[in-house]
Amino acid sequence: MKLHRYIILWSLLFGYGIIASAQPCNNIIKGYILDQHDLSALSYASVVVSGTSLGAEADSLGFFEIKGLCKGSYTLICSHVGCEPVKRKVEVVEAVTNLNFYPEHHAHELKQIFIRARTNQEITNVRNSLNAEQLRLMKSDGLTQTLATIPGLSVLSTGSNIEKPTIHGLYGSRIAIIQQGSRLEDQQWGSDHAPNIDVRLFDKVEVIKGAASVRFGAKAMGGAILLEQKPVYTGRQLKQEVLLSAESNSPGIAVSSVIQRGDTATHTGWKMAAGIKKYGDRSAPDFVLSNTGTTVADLGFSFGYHKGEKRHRITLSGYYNNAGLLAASQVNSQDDILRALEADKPLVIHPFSFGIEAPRQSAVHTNLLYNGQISLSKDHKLKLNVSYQYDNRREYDVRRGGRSNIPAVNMNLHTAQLELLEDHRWNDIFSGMVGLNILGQINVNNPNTQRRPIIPYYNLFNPGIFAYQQANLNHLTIEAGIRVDYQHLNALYYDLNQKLHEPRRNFGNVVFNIGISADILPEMRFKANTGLAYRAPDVNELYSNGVHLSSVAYEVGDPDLRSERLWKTIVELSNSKDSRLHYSIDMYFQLFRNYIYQRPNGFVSTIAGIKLRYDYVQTDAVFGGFDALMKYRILPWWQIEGKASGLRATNRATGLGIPLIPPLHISGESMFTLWKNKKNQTSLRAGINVSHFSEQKRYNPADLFAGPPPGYTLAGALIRYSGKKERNTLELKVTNLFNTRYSSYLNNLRYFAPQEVGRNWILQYRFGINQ
Amino acid sequence: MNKLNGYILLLGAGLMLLVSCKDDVKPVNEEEVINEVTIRLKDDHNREYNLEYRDADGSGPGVPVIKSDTLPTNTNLQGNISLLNTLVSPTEDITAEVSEEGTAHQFFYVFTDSPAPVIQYADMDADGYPIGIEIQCNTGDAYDGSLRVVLRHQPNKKGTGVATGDMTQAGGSTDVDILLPIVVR
Repeated sequence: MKLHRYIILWSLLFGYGIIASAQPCNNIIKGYILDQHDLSALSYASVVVSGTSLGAEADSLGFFEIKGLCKGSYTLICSHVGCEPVKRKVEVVEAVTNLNFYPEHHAHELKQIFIRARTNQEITNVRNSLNAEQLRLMKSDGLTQTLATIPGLSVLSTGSNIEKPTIHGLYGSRIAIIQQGSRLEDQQWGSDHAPNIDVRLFDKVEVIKGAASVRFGAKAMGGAILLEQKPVYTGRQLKQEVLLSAESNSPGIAVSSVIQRGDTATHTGWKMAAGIKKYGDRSAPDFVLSNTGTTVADLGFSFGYHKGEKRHRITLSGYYNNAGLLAASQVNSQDDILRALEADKPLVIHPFSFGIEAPRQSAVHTNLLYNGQISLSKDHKLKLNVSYQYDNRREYDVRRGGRSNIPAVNMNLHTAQLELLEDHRWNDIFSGMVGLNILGQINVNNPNTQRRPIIPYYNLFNPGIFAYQQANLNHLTIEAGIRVDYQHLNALYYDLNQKLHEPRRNFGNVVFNIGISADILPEMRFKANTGLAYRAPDVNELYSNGVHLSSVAYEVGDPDLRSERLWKTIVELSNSKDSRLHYSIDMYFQLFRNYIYQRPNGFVSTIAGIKLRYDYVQTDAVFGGFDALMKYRILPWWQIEGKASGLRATNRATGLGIPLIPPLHISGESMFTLWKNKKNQTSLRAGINVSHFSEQKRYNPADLFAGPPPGYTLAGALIRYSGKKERNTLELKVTNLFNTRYSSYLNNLRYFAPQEVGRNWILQYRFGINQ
Repeated sequence: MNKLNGYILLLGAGLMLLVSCKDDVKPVNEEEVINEVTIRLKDDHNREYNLEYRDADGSGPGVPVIKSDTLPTNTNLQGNISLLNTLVSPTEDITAEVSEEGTAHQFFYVFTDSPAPVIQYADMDADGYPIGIEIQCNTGDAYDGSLRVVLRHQPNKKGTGVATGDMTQAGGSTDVDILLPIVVR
C-alpha cells in the first residue's frame, strides 16, 4: 500500500510532469471491462495507468475511457472487486486506442454466480438468469415453477406434480435442459414426462429464449435451460446451507442441505447436496385432489480440482421421485371424459391421505458427469464434458388382477454424451468456439409390464459439430454460428399382430444462427438474433401406436415424418439490471415448417367404448409474441415490478390455434422494506403480487376435449426476515391468497378436476454457515 | 494432451459399447386386455341364449364381431357374463379377476329403448353390494333395440341407485362399454 502511494507521488512529481512538458498529450484509451466468463459488464471496475495518476472507472455497461495520454507505452492495471487484477502493456500511437479487459470474476463476492466458459457463449442471444432470490426459491419450489417467473416461460403440467417448462409455447424435445454441458434426457416424450432433475447442486440457472443455439443443437431449437455449478470451492472453511420448508395445502415438509469444503493447498474441493420432500394430497377450494401426493429424494456429490485455468470436476447425482396422479384422471373412454366434464367435482374423491396409489409415476435419474478444462495458452482453452445418464421411468395404472403394482410403463434409458470444445480468442476483437458433440442412447423396455410399450426399444447415435465466431467492436458485438448434426435411429417393436418391425431412419440436419448486440445508448442495449434449425422427429412421434397412460387418446405415430424446421427471430431492448428503472422487452417470431403435433382423426372403437384417435402429423405454423418486464425502485424502500407475455400461434393449414399455447399473462409485484438495520444488516421485507391469466381464445375445438377455461386472477403475499448478512432468512408466503376457484388451460388433467390447488401457506427457513 | 486423448478413446469405446449392445426385444403378453364378452342366458328348460362380442385385435382399431340370439317374450332367464382375453395363450379368464376384486367392480346393464326387458343382479361382493357377473333377466314384451353393457372399475357402489343398476352416480373408470343388439320375440 505504501509502495503504491510512493509510486503515485513519484509519478505525479516527476514522471507525469516530464512527459507532459515534452508533447501535447490528448490521446485516449477506451474499451470495456467484461467478465471473462460471460462477457457481462463489470460495472465500476477501475483501470489505472501504472506510473501515472491517470485512471478511470467503468460505467454500468463496463465502458471506460482514459483521456490525456501521451504517445508512448504504458502499463494498464484493471481491477475489480472479486477479480484478480489484470495488467496489460499498451502502445499509444494513435489518438484513440481500443482496449478491452476480461478479468476473471471470482464468485464468492457475487450473489449471482457466473462460471461460464470464457466468452463465447452466444451472447447476442436473448437470455435471462435467475437471481439469487430466485435460485433460493428454486431449491424449494422446484425448477419449473421458478423458471415460470421469467416472462415468456410457463408451466405445462399434468396434475399438480408433473410440471415441465415451456418457452414461447414450445416444450419437450424443442427445449433442451443442459447441466454442465450434458443434456438431460427422459423428459421429451410427452407433456406428462417431466424433467427429473436435482437442482440443489447448481448455483446458476440461465435460460436462452433466443433463436436456435448452435452450441446446444436442434433439440434446443425453442430455447435452452442451462444449469451450472460455481467453480470448485477450495477454501478450508466448511460452508453449509440448510433449507427447511413446510406447506399447509398438501401438508408436508421439505428439508435440504448443501455442504462444501476444500483444501487450498491441493486446490481441491468437494460439495454435497441432499434433499427430501414429502407431501400429501393437495386440495382445491371445494374438494381434495385425491392421490396428488409426492415424495422426492435427491443426493448429489461433486469433487473438483481448480488451479488457475486447469479444472477438473466429477459430479454424481441421483434423484428419486414418486408422484401421484389425480385419482379421477384414470379414464378409459370418451364417455368417461364426458362424465368428468359434466361433473362439478372429480369423479373419484377419497379422504385426505399421504399415500400415493396408482395412477402414479416413479422415476430414478442418475447422472455421472466429468467436466474438464485445460489451457493451451492464455487465450486458447480446451474443454471436455463427458457424462453418462441412467433413467428409469415407471408409470403405474389402476389395473385389474393385482397388476396395479406392476408398472404399465417401465423404461430404462441409457445415455452417454461427450462434448469437446475449443475456446479461442485471437485478439481483442475476435473470439469463438469450435466443438464436437457425440450422443449415444439406448432405450430398453422392461418386458414384465404386460402392456405394449409406448416407446419402442431403440438406439440412437447423434454426432454433431459446430463453430461460431464473435467480433467484439466498441459498442457492438456480432456473432455467427453453424452446426451440422447427424442422427441415426434404429427402433425395434412388435405391432398389434405381434409382427416385428425394425425401422431405421437417418437424419442430417443443420443449424445456423447470426446475431448482434449493440449498446445504442449508454444505458440501453439492443439484441437481435435469427436462426434456423432442423429437428429430427422423436421416437414417439414416429412409432407410437396405442393408448398413452393418463390420456384417453389412442396415439398413432407416423414412421415417415420428416425433420421439422424452425426459423426464429428475436429482438430485445433492455437496460442494466442495476438501473432504478429497469426494463427488458423482447419480440419474437417463430416460423415452423413441418411442425409436428397431434391431430384428432376420428374414433377407435375398443371394448371399453370409443376412444379419440390422435395422429402425429406435420403442418406449417406461425408463432408470434412478446415478453416485457419492468422494475422500478420508486423509493429506496419500495420497488414495483410488472411483467407481461403474450403469444399468438396459428396452424397455417386450418387458420386456427395450436393446442397448449400459454394465454396472455400479466403480473405485478410490489415489495416493501419495512425495516432495515444497516449495522446488523438485518431487514424485514414484505410483498404482494397479483397475476392474471387470460382465457385462451385461439384454439381448434377439434384439438381439445373441452374449450379452454375462463381467465383468472390470483393474488399472493409474503413477508421475509433476513438475518445478519442474509445468513438466515425466515419467510412466510401465501399463494392463491383468496382461495380462488380456477382452472388452468395448461394442465393436461383439467378435464378431470374443475379446480386447481387452493390457498397455500408456505413457511420457509434458511440457515447458512460461512455462506 | 495425452491424458485428453485417453479420455476420448475411453469414451468412444463406451459409446460404441452402448450402441452395439442390443437386448432381446420380446413381444409383450397383454394379459389384462378384454377382447371377448359373452352373456349366456338359460331359461327354465335349459335352453341357451348367447350374446357375444368378439374383438380380434383387442385394444387395436379393428371392428368387432357381434352376434346375439333372439330371446323369447315373457321368460325368466338366469345367466352370467364372461370376459376373456383370447389374445394370449393360454386364454385368460378376466371374469375370475373381476370376481376376485368384486368390491372394485360392477357391471351395469342398460337397455336403450323402452319398454324393455329387466335385468337384475344375482350376486354380491364381500361388502354385500352387487357385482353383476350373475344376472337374472325378465324379457317382458317384444323388444327391438340394444343393450349397453358397462363394467366400471372402482365405482362408488354406495352412490344413489348404483346398487339397483343405475350408473349415473357410479363414477369410476370404464373397462367395458359395449352395445349388443337385442330382439325379443
